[in-house]
Amino acid sequence: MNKTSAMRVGIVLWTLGIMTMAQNSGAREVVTPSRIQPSALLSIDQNRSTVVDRIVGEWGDRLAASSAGINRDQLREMLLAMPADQLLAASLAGSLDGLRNVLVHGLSAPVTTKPSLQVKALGDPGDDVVYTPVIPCRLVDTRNAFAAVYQGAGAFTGGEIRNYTIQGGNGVCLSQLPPGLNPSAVQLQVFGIPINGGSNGDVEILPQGSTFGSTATLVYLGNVLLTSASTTARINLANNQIGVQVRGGGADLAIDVVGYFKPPAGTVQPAAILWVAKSGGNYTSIQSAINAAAAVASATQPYLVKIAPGTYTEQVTLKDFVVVEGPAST
Amino acid sequence: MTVIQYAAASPTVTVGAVSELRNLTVINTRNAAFPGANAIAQSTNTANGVSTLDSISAIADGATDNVALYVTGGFLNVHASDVEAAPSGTQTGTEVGLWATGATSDVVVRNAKLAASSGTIRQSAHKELGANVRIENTQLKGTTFGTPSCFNNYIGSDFTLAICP
Repeated sequence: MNKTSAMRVGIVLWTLGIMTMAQNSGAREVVTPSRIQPSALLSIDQNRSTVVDRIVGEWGDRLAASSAGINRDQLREMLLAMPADQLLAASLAGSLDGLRNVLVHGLSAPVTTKPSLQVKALGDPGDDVVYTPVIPCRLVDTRNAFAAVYQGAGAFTGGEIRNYTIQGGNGVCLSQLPPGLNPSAVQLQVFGIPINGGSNGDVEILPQGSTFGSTATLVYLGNVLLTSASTTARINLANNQIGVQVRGGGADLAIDVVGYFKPPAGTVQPAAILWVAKSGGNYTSIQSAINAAAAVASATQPYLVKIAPGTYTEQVTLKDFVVVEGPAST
Repeated sequence: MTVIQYAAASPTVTVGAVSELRNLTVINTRNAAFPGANAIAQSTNTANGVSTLDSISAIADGATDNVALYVTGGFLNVHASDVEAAPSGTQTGTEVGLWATGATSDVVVRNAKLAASSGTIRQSAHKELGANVRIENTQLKGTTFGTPSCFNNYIGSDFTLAICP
């Protein structure tokens, strides 16, 4: 068997494999992938002009001389427009009729687009979060050794839980975790320092209010002076807090914030608008409208209370996620 | 024009939530001595809270001891707003536009006006130890007390640079 024959046998075997896979997967479909393509067909595509030249060189004149009514240029144009798998079939044609069948099929076969990837732009505030690294800042240091938002308070005893608000304060983390940032998770570097040589245990960090005891963020050993772990910690979104439990023999903790996850910035549209007016609105009292909105408003579904022109004699207390707005001119 | 008004020792509007107040005039006209009239007050924030006042006229114009905006805790942003104590100009007590006190108080005022038009003590801004007050690009009428952080503030009558603190 010479080299060319060996190549042809290889291609035929490989083609049979493709066809077997297609049969196994059900009806034969022509897939037009948007990004990821089978590597074999990708090779055909990458060498499309070479493949087309070979087919035109082998069959062009004979096809033009037949009753098909297709000259070399038209054949080239058809081949260049073919999907990769059809072009592969054309390259394997062993006779003029075989080539004509491929060309006919290529012209009539339905093309089914089955996207192999779910394409979605990053930036959906309902689904996506964006990671923002920050200059590390110390949120917790129970030893009072370094400046921290929560500084001192002493070592955890075994089983103790403490809660920490993810927000800067006391001059620490002010720029990294400014008020109102409200991330959905933080990336933490956690350091466990056992209180003595016999103190072994573990640390678990969860959203504040969670039930502890099923996982561990860091395991510390009494004979190891300091153990460190990196973790992504989710936050209780209602109060912006994490809970930390130390189990076992007790340990000091230091926790650095190195980044945070947060939905991408975007304008959150109000879920509803309530009108306050002396007459014709939803409410005649501003506070009544605020209270009604606050009962259902949330961070992702804020409410807007719009107040019609006029003088309202009452005391008003604002509530979370309810914006109060008068007409554009005060 | 939309006005929320009241005349009591407690403020007309209490802020301190994740909320915003826009395009409103808030007035308190309590006619009594200390505590006098107070238009807007904040004592703390809710858990995630930063309140914002945007395009607000906060006016405290009672008989005496008027404080237009009184903050004793929490974060508050004031933008494009008039914060005025004693605008009628007849009061002789302690008249203050913004009064911030308390270790957790953090107030930022930008592109606004802080004013006290009369008073034996007449202060545009009063910052007590512990509070954090930043005032930028704002018209000041009356002296400042304490050490607020100031940038590019001016005197309304002639647009000269205001001395602050």
